[in-house]
Amino acid sequence: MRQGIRWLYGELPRLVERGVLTPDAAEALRHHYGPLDSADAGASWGQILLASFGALLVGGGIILIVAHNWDDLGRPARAALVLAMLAAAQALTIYAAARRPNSIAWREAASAFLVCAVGAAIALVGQTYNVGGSFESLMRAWLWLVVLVPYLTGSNLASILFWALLVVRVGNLGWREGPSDPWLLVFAALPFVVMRLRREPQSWATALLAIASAASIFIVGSIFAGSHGWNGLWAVFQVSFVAAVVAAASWPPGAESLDPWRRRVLVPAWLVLIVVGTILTFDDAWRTVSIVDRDFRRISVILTALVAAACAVFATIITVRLARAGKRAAAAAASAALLVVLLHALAMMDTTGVSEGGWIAFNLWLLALGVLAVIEGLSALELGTTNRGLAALAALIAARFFDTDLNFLARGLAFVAFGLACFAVNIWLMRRVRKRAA
Amino acid sequence: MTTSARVIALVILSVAQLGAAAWSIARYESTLRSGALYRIRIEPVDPADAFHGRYVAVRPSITVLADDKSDLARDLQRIQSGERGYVVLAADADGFARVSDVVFTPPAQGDYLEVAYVWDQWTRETQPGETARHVGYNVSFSFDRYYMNEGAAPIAEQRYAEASRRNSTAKAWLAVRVKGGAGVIEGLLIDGDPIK
Repeated sequence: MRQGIRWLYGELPRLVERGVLTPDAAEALRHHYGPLDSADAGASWGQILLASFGALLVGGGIILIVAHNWDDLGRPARAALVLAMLAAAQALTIYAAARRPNSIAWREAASAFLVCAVGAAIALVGQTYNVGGSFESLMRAWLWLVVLVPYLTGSNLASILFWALLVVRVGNLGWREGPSDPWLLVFAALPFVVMRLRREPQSWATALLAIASAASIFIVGSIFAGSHGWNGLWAVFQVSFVAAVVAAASWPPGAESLDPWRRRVLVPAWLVLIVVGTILTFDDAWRTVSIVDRDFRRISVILTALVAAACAVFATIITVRLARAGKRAAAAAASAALLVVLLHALAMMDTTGVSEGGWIAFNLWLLALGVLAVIEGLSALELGTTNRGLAALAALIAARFFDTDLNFLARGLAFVAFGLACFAVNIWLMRRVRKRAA
Repeated sequence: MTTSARVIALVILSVAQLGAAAWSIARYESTLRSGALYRIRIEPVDPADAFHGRYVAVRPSITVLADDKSDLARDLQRIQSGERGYVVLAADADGFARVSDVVFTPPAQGDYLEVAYVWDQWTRETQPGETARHVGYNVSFSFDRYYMNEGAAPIAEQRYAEASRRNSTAKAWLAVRVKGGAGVIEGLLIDGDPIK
């Protein structure tokens, strides 16, 4: 993208000179794409990674030096040191925003250092005053104090660190803790991800941020859904959320070839959906859903259910649109959200064995998903879609390997046959694609 | 957002971050200077586990001997089941903290601390054939670490081990300052000797 902008900026004077563009139009283009800092715009991934890694190491080193708990330093001196370290990180971040706004390396490194410095400051205050025992309160304060950093600096790394810290916090919650603010933090941080997806859809950093945020929300929701008394909510949340991600990455049809982030997000999301869908093909996954054990006092459970419902509504709307546009495989994947919500509702009311329908329905769904994706991939000569379909079928066959009474010979032969079929389909498809390209 | 607006917003955020850190420091300093002093016993710990090099795992707790049917016991059971609760503190003749009340909103007056955990207290020693009886509850708090220089921690470990060898009932306690719901450890003492 930057290479393209660099080329365009090089061309603008000539285009103006030849009368192809007016000076105003050239200026409007410059304004649209923003300034290109000659020193930093070409900063390679290596430079950015080195700068960011360096910032993290410097931050970590300072934390360890202060954490040595110097005997000679009194409490006030240690407190002053903590505040000075935080102020230095803030000064660097403000310098990067004010003086080097186009430098990715400066932006990412300074912002990552600031995120680390805030956490270090809180932890070191806790150490100085021996009140550092509550990990939850430390993480809560840390997350709220850095949630706005990505918005103000535009740093992907600061945002990725935030999403990682959120997982660390929720992963360490005690059994009796179900705070609502992790979901508020998600709602506060998510618009930055959406903003990046719109502004820099081609960038790998954007795709990584999208994957990190989706993974973080998936883990946070799963922990809340799985640990606080609502049997089966984990399945509703996981399927609805991942189906919504698949839907977002698949809509509008054909957009994945325009916006690389969609393709990069779609593949892992599709694989996670297949894994969760496969788990739901086992009857054990549905056995406890009808047991009434729902703790509505915990706001985190209510919010998780609401997020799952919102994802299911979104995925269902996109399912209909994808189906109308002829994207049957993507529609089938996104339809899992509606399916899991309906089956969960039926299983909750079950008094006559309706919950048996859950695992049967997901067997059929996984089979349909695989078949539709293979057919669509073969007809459109899309290797990725075909392989996603084959992955769904392979998962279904592997799952049934564990709970069928067929002997090992029959099951082994079926595996070998399916594996050979996968190879054959891929080779055939690659030849067709090459022939079409020629 | 323009660069200047972004910088102004960053400055505001920086002030908030520094303010949060400074407010914590001021609160803890104020507690240490003018908070009420209590002694809180720390659970007997295995020295090999407790002294990790950078901090001592102190596990402070107050034992509440209460009949299961009493109001105090019922309130502690509510905290055990997940409700947030606070204990109002009073001092016994030796200056050790005892629980005078359990409340579910921070009280307007008196020294109090938020409860981190409540667990059951059973009779410590039983005769052969006798089963342990439930005699009350232990209330513990979030300040469960006493930070030390990494060189001093092994020396502290050795002193605790020696004290335990000399006297099997060696007592360890924390000197804690309490003010406005904040508890800050002032010192760790083993048989009356401060550990630093």
